[in-house]
Order: sequence, then C-alpha cells, then structure tokens
Amino acid sequence: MKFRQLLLVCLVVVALVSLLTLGVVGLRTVVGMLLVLVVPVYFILSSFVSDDLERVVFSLFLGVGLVPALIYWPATVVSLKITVVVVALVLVAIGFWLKKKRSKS
Amino acid sequence: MKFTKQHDLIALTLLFLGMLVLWTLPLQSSVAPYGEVDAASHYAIAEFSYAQDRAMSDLPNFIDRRYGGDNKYKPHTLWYPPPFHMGLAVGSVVGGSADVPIYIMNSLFGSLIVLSVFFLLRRLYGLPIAFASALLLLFSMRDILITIWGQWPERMGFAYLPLVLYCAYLYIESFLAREEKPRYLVLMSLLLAVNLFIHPMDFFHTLGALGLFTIFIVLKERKWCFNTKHLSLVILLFVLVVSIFPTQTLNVFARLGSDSSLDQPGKGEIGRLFHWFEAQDDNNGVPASYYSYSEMIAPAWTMVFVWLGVLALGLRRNRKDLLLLAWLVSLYVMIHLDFLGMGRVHRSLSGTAHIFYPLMVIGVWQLISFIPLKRDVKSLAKLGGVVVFTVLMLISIAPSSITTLKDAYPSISRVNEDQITLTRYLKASSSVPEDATLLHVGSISLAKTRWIRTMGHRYVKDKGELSDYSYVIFDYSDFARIGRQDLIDNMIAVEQSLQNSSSVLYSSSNVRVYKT
Repeated sequence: MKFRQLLLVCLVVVALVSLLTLGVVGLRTVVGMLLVLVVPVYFILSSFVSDDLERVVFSLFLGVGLVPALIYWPATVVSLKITVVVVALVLVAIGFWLKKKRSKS
Repeated sequence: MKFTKQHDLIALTLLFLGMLVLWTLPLQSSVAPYGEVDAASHYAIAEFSYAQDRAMSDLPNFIDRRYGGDNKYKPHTLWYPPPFHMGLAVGSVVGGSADVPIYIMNSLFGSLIVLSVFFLLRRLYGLPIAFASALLLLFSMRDILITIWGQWPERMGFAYLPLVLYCAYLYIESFLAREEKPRYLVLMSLLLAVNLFIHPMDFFHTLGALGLFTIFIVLKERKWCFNTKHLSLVILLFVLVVSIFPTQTLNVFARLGSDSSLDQPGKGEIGRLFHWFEAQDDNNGVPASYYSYSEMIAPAWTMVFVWLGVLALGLRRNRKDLLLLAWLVSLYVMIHLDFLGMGRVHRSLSGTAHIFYPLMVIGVWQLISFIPLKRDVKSLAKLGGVVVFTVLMLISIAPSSITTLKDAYPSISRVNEDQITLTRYLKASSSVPEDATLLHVGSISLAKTRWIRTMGHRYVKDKGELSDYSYVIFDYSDFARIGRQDLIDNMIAVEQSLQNSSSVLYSSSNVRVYKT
C-alpha cells in the first residue's frame, strides 16, 4: 500500500477510535483539530519536505503551535469561530498555490 | 529485519491511538473538569475565549485578580504566549463545547512527547528502539501526574526538544557531508519559536541541549558545523516569529531579571553536584513519591540499563550518540541550577523519563550486541531482547499508570452538579457584577473554589471574614455528599446569622448566594 493511502486508512482508524472512546464530541474534536491545525500545514510542507513521515510529524507539531498563533490576533477583533475557518482555508490555499508554483518551475 | 516508512507510520498511529485512549481516561470516567489550581487557570483562558468567541488580550476580572501580576512586562495581560491556550480554544470551536474538547486537546498536547521521542529515535537508532522507548513513555507516571495536576503547557513544551535536536542533527550531518540542507535550520527555528510560545522553561531545556550538542560536535569534528550566513538568517526568522507576541516574550526576560529564588539554600554546595536531585524548601504540595525513581520512572533494577545505555553512548561517541548525551547532560545542568541558586529545579525533573527510557532500551540493545553470536542471529536476539524488556517493563509500570489515570480526581474532588448549576448562574447573572468578589463558604479545597471561579467567571475566594464580602456563597453540596452533618450544622448557624441583613440572589437545594 502506498504511503498516502495508508495515511488515509490511519486517519479513518483514528476517527473511529475517537468516536468509540470519546463519542461524537471526541470525534469532532480530534478530526476537527487535524483538519484545522494539521492538514493546512501538511499541504504547505508538501512543497518543502520530501520525507513522508517528516511531513506528517512536522505538520502536527508546527500545526498545533503555529496555527493558533496565526488565529490569535485576528480573533481579538473578529469572531474566533470565523477566524479558525478563515485561517485554515487561507493556509490550505497557500499550500496549493505553493505546490502549483513548484510544479510549474 | 528491514522496516519501511509504512511500518513507521503504523507505529506512529498506534502510539497516537495509545495517547488518545489512555491519556483521556480521566475524562472517560467523568466529564467534569479536574486538576489543581494551575489546571483551572489554563482552562479559564481557553474556556473564556471560547465562551466570548474572542481571543482575550486584557485579562477579565476573575483571572486578573489572581494572575494580573504574572506578566511582569505588561501586567493585566496574558502571562503565557497565547498559542497553547488558543489551541485548546480551537478544540472547543471544532468540538462544539468547552469542557470535554479542552481536555481531549490537552491530553493529546500533554502526551506529544511520545511521538517526538519516537520520531527522533527512529532516525537515530531504528524502529524497534524508537517504538519501545515511546511505548514506555506512554505510561510515564511523572508525565501523567503533572498533566492531571495541571502544569499543562510545561508538558507540551517538552515535546519540542527531540524535534529541535532532530533538525539540528540532520542539518549538521548534511553540512559536514557538504550537502547542506538549510530547510532543517528553518524548521528548527520555527520549532524553537513554538517551544518558547508553549513554555519558556522547556525552551531553555531545548536551548541547553542544542548548545551542548553543538559543542560536542565541534570538539569531535574540530570544525564549525553551521553555515554562518544561514544561521544568521534563521536566528532572524526566530526573532521575527517570537515578536508576534511581544508582551509575553518580553515577560520571559522580565521574569528572568526578577527571579526571587536566587538565594536558595544549597547554593554553592559541591555535594549537590553528586546527587541527581534534592527537594527544595519551596516544593510544598509535591508528594514525596514525585522524587522517587522507582515510583515515577521504573523499578530500581532498570537503573543498570540506564547506565549501560550511557556507557554505550559514551564509548561509541558517534554523532547520534553525542546528541543523546548532550540531551542527558543538559538535563543534568537544568536539574542542578539550584547549585547556582537559580530556578525551580523540581519542575525540570519532569523531563527525566523522556531520556531515561531510550537510554534503558539502548542499554538492552547494546548488552545483547556484546554476546558472541552470528550476525543474523544477533539482530534477532537484539530485537527479542528489546521486546522481552519492554514487556517486563510494561508489566511493572503500566498497571499503576492506568489506575492513576482511571481514578484521577474521583467524585468529590471534582465540581459536582450543584456547583456546576451555580457556575452557570454566576456566569449569566446580572445581579452579581463581573467585578464582584464572592466568599465560598463550604469549600473543601482551594482547587474546588478555583474551579467555581473559573467556570462561573466571577472572582470567588475560599477563605476570609464574612463581613469583608458583599457576596457570599453558602455551598453545602460537598459536605452533604461526604455526610459531614457537623459541618453542615455549623454553616447553617452562620447562614442564619446573615439572613436578616441580606438578600438571597440564588437558591437551590444545597447552594445559596447572598448579597450582604
């Protein structure tokens, strides 16, 4: 099985275990955290980090540390909920833009 | 045996699932918040941000009255950089409520060290040693205790040390091989910045390990191991990132300058350098077992393997061995800062398991490598030895860790239903002003009152003279639950003395709030 396929399987297993041990709130929290904090950084790192496991680990650790830092200042003036969504979408967009730019060059 | 990156990913996922299932056990028995006063303070910042749907800059009254002076550079603002608490609040946003998501996020944040130790050791010593070390760390009693007590950011901050060392190692390897990979320097710089955001003490641990590793490499290779231009640029990047939160970053330095623990007893005592740790006068409230190797790390016989691990690294002295030695020596330095009259060194003890477990496993691996066996048989024997050692260790440390997590803060030590209803009233009440101070009569612990303060968004105190307060809570709920009728009778007498001169603002079967 290819690494990316296995990664998806692992994410599904994590989601299932979250649901079984912590209920719907657990599922929402764990999957939501991965989607909002980790996945956007994963897309950005895809353009810079070639090792698959490094990409997974660094996106987790930088995601939980840096994305909340990016959310903080806008959320002091506008809704926290809106800021979370907007920052995640902007980071994903940057990730795709970087990938496109790299593939062109 | 050859392991692929797919094996690595499966191992990483298994460890993550272990963190998720094991470290959330306190939450699985009851969803009421738990922990000591520090836990209440961290919870307060995240929960208040979620409840207001705004990130806080100035502290609200109920937090400010206790923590308003903790930011020495700019009082009345957040004393920690915001990312840790913002991360918890993001958990609440995606989870759709405050209490459970904050604790799920914190359980994962607090156990991230398991993944980072795995990641570093996998690169240095391969999958078996990495997985065994990380698996043992999953059950580290000292890490578990500190997380459930409430030193939340400190737990998470330690997880960045192995990652920073990983980046430094790979960069230096590439630099010395003349195939420089500056991306590792960039990643290191960002990880260091996050490390400072999460917890300053852990940042200094990381800096110490990084500095010593650099010194060891320079001594071994007899040449400088960084591209100075790239190093300058990533230092600039680090400064730029940490300047996102100037008041909190400058607070770190303001606090260093105002350290009141510089004249501790024991300062300059040479004997101290030959002991791993000695409890200090200001360690009140920390149980004696916290200082015990056998109760926090592993049975005493495992120290032999720690020493074997150290010996193996010291004799071999490869670059990767120097990396772990630098980590160990830097930890020794941090734990012995009291020799210089500095620091709260008992807090640094919480970093010991992170390096001790890998040393043990390396010790076992190395011991088997001394046995004269054929090459194929030897690699299997080393693997088998690590498996047997890990199973033996799990048998001795896992049951008590699981019990500790399962039984963490049983019923009476958490806020009860009556108190939760009270906090909902306080939070929404217009008759108890936001700047009011309330006396909590019937408090069974300081932590309990702090939780009512945190969840009610009002400044509630557990001790004081009745006449000094305009708002008084008579809370019979805990005494009723533990069957202390004598204490209930005493409280009724006090409450009756107040009834003529006061008005009742809130009343339930076990709790009343008066305006005096």
